[in-house]
Amino acid sequence: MLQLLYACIVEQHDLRLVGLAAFVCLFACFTATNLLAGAQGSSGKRRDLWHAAAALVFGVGVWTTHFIAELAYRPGIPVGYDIELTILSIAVAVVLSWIGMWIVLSLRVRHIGGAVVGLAVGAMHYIGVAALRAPADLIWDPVMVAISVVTGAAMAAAAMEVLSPKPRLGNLVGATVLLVLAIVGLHFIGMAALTLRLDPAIDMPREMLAPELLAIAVAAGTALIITLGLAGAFVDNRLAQRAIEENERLQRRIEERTAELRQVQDELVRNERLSVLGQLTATIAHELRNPLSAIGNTIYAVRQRVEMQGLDLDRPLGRIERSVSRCERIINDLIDFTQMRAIEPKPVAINAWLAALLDALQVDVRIERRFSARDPIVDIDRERMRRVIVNLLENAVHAMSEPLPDNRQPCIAIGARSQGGRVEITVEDNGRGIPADVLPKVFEPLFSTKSFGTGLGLPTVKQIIEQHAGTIAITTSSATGTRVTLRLPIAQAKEMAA
Amino acid sequence: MSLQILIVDDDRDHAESVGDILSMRGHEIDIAGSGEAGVAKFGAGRFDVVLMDVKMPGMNGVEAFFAIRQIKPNAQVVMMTGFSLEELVEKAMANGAIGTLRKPLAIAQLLQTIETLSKAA
Repeated sequence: MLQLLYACIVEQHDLRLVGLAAFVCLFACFTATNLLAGAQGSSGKRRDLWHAAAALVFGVGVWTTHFIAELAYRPGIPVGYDIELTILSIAVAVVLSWIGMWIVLSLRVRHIGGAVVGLAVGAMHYIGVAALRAPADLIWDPVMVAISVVTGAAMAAAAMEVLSPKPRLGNLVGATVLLVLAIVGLHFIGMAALTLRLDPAIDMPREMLAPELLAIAVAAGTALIITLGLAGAFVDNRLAQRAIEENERLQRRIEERTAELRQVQDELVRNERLSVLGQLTATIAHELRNPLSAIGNTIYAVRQRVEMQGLDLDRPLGRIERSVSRCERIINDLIDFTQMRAIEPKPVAINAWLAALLDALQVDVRIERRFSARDPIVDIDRERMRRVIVNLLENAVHAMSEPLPDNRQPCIAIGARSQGGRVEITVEDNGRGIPADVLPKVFEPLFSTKSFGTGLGLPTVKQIIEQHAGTIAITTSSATGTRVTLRLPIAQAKEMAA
Repeated sequence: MSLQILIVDDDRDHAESVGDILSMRGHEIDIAGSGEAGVAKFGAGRFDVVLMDVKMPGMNGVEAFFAIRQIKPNAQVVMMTGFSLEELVEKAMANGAIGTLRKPLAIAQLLQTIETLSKAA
């Protein structure tokens, strides 16, 4: 049979047209498979559209392939084609394909559906052959006909099985190849089943399609398949793209909303805690300040009397006084942090203000001033911002309280300059730096590395800076020390000449 | 010159500790343990200065301040408070209290306030 097939294809066909038929067939099958996969992946109207397009492409594809191959068939006699049967063949191909695919899509019996698709190929083929008009008798070999139909149905059934409900590229290619085999196998076995016996007595009908016209019809069919295939791919791409974009948009939206919610919740929890803590601290502060005041007053009175009597109790009394001061300091820190009162910002020329503040403070370390020539105006609550600077200075001094490596002399540099609509205030020491494990915790309330620290210094500083719509950043290294950078918005970009 | 000073504070220890310091400076001290008692003592005696705690049960320091100003419109009253910020104290200050001392007391400030009043008297 193979030899028969070979002889049939090589001896009786124009091989260039056979090649074209194979190409159209391959293209139609791949497009139809893709469209069918699209139908499987969608629902409602869209699914109906994909389904119809798949059936149309496949039906027309089979038909086109058949007739290109038939044009390639050169039996050596004049041939023509019956118009009605030719049209019927394409209609049957499309409708049967549609039914087969419907069985696949809706009844989900893939092999039966596939077999019906194969029958569509067979029906198309034999109606198409029946449309052939030539001065000859058509003699059929029924066994070969049966083999051809079974081959088509089996291959198409296999194709539908391979095209799984959620196909990957491999499934698509496999199904395509099997569909091509269904068409090609059926066609050539079917043609081998046919023998034409010349009979010049048979009249050629008048109304029939000349091969040239058939070629045009075939070209139109091919164009339709390609157009639908491209349109399908394009729509498919667009839909996929849009789905991805929509997904990403939703994802972003969800992330944004989640972040917002988390922030609001954090703020609520924080405010709630601060409010409770604030009331508690205020009460405790008041209750402690009374006895502290009584102790302080009493020490003062005792000191007076002791001195009158010439007793030397200076050291123990000093100890009590220092301890009282420490308690007072702790209370003040706690209140500072928990009583988040609203700030009262007023425009301040920052260099002049810093200079005056530094003049008034007594710091045991050399302070270098690095102010820019122009003095930017910043809206600040002077009392609160004073707290910030004093706190940062205390930290700097503390960082340099022990002898420094390389014999370097303790030095604090305070800088102020405007930088892109903001004022940058830096407090820089050349101390030992902040260890890497400590750095992430410095803004945590109650965290302290000092033996007498409350761990509220930097949290309070941060709180005050944030109330001023500013930011605080710390860079540190054991080699060069620590630099704290405060950035505050400039008041309407006003600046004063120094 | 020596002043007659009334200390009104519900914390007796605190009142006495302030009293000690001032009596060592030669002032006459009397103590009241509540706003009501303070007003009564003020009405009954002749005081040059009142040191008035703010937070007390019953009549608070600011109410007592207003009651004392009713008795003697130019009474010299210095408020004492353990709170950092208080609207009540501001109200007293706006209505003629002559000063506010924060607890724990800065003794230099206490002595200076009394000294100024003593010179004026």
